[in-house]
Amino acid sequence: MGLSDQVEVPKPLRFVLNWGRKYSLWVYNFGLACCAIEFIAGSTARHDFIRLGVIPFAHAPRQADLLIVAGTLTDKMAPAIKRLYDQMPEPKYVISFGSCSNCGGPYWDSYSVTKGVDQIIPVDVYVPGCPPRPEALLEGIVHLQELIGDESLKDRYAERDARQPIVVGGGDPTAHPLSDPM
Amino acid sequence: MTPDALAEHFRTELGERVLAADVAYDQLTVTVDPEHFAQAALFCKQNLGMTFFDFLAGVDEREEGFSVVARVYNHVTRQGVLLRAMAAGGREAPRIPTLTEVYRGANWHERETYDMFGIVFEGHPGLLPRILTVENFEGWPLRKEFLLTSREVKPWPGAKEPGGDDEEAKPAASTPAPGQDPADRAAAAKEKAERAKKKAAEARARKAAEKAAAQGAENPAGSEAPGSGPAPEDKAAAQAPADDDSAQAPADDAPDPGTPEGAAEIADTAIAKDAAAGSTVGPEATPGEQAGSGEPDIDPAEEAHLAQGGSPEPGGTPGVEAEGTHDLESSSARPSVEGDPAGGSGSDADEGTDSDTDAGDDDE
Repeated sequence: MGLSDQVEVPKPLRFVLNWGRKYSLWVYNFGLACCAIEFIAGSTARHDFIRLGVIPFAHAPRQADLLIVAGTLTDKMAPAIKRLYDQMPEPKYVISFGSCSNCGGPYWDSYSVTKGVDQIIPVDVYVPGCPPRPEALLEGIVHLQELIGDESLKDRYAERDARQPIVVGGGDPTAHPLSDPM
Repeated sequence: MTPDALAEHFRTELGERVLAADVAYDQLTVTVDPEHFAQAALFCKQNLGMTFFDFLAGVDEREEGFSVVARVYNHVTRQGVLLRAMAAGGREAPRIPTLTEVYRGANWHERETYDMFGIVFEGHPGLLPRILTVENFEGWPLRKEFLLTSREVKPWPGAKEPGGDDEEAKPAASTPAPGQDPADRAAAAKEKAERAKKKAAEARARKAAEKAAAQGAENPAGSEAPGSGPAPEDKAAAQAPADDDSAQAPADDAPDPGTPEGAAEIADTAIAKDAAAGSTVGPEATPGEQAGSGEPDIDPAEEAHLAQGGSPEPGGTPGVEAEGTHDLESSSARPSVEGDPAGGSGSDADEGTDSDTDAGDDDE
């Protein structure tokens, strides 16, 4: 990160930088269920979130600024989403789209569904609904853009560093996965 | 060939290996001796041309154990048969021969059936690693005795049957299952939820106290250290009854308008969710200790972390092992399975080496 996490960028410059960032959000769609269809509807002509500067053509998480988790996250899938999130470059944002990824939704009592993606990765914006309409996604994106427009990257990074890492599956995150005999 | 003729054909060709052949709704169900399950499948494939393997699944037959059903189909004659066999070994160690040598497509179906029912398919190339559940999942979720801990904490909202009312539905929720005492587990889960709530209330109170201290402590009692004494007149105490150790900061009565209440709410939900999912809140949640100490010790640092919506325990993620974790080595419930490929689960849990591999990838 270098300078931006140590020095507060002067306000006029920060405004310009944030303005540039908030209208160029390369989004990675982590589609897990029917919500992903609503996400796709949001990207096509009728709703068209590309007009908000959200670009759904991120080739990989390493090229993405925004992760939209759309659908039911299971415990089996949770390590994958954590790994994907870790691969994204900073600054990165997460929208949890739909009841399942917010809190487990209709699978609140399931033996296999993670009760909210926020147990795995930090979430910036939650969009409720089952599934939410594409308009709801548009509103979530606008809220995220407001958040980006007002934020200071220095504060964001400080907050992130203070955050305790969440270890998926528990145990020692530094241990080699194959060292555990099965 | 009509289904009845087909049933007769099975009886004459397989003889005593066919225990029953029933026709219902023009569909033939053939119950075979479990020893000859694969042989019957081979007969269907080779003699009857049923080359299409449709599905395989397990059925919980309660006291009798488990049965396995598989449907195979002939695309040309459009005839299918449902093969059925009772797994040997009863409820304790159900086992049945694999069909993978007849139909390779049976592989994943059998792995799924193993995950859901714990039925071991003898001769299967590798039932592990788990195909659907997480590696350290405890229990067999589609067995009748498997209890959803979330359901025990919070019963199903509303009637379960059409036209039925809750009074009827409630006892059905705790129908005794073999080898389990749901009442005990329900009580334990409820207790856990209570404790989580109490803990969240404490975190809230502590946060408020810190806030008040930080703002110059207009009210001197606001900076009082947690744990110094009860303050029965305030609201927070009402939220956490029987909680005499935790300090309830009076600042909670008059929350500062500039500070968000959201953080405490998040802490509340994170823990509540955790408890609902049935995972342990912390080391103090073990049943042995809870009898001795009425009030769990709470590390202030951990609590501050909780108040910010962090994971209740840095070492464990709630929800991932929502139904509890167990030690693979010490588990006697897991049957030994032949042909387990060593290290096959690598892609699931290699978070630790992420940074290393990432750096390597970039260089390439």
